[in-house]
Amino acid sequence: MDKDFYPNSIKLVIASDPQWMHLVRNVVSSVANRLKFRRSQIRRLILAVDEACTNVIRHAYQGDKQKQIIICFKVFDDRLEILIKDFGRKGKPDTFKPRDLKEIRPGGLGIHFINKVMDEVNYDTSLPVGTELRLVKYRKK
Amino acid sequence: MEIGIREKGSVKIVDLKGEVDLYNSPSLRVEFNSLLKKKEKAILINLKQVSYIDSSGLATFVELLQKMSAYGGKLKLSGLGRSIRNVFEVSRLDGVFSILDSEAGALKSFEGA
Repeated sequence: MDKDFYPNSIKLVIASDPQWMHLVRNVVSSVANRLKFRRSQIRRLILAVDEACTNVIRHAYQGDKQKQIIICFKVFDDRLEILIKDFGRKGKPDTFKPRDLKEIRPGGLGIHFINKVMDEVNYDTSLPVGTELRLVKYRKK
Repeated sequence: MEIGIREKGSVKIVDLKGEVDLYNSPSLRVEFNSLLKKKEKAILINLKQVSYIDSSGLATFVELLQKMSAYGGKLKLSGLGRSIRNVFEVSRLDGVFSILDSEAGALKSFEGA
């Protein structure tokens, strides 16, 4: 068995090609539906994960479509954890800040969406290669 | 995503269908750039059949808005479903764009602009 396997988890390995983001969104929708998140929460979860993967493609991989993104969904009684791992250029998490929403310009909204939707957002840049983003959404009882 | 362009009076209407994301926003930008080249004065984007939009899609709209404003053009959006409207609200772009419920209402508002 894969040493990284967790019970109650789903692992998706995709190429860093924007054409597959549609597939990622469908998986997020299915998992969140299964966990009975509200429809409005599901829409937001889809957006947050999509934006996180988009950031990997644009920033970690600089638009290279031939790289790997691993997305792991871990289901717990009280929460859904989504781990997004890349093997690209590391950023500095303290610089991952949303732009001021009063400022009207294209771009810079992805981080805002992620932070707004998720209960916990942590970037692990201590890995030898790449970054792992951990997103957590608690299931309200 | 499908893009259709039609005309009603002096207004160019851009009909979008499907998902506006990182994958297809570049082709949308190409369409917008051709409208900008002609310095279209009034553009209405019909989002009635758009099921999803991400920050890349929003960025494309913001670019169009800013470039049109620079030459005095007017851009309006209509037909936003609940989930699309929510993305505009969360990003506070609902106060930046002129958003109308219906195409008819949007066309009428261009007359008074």
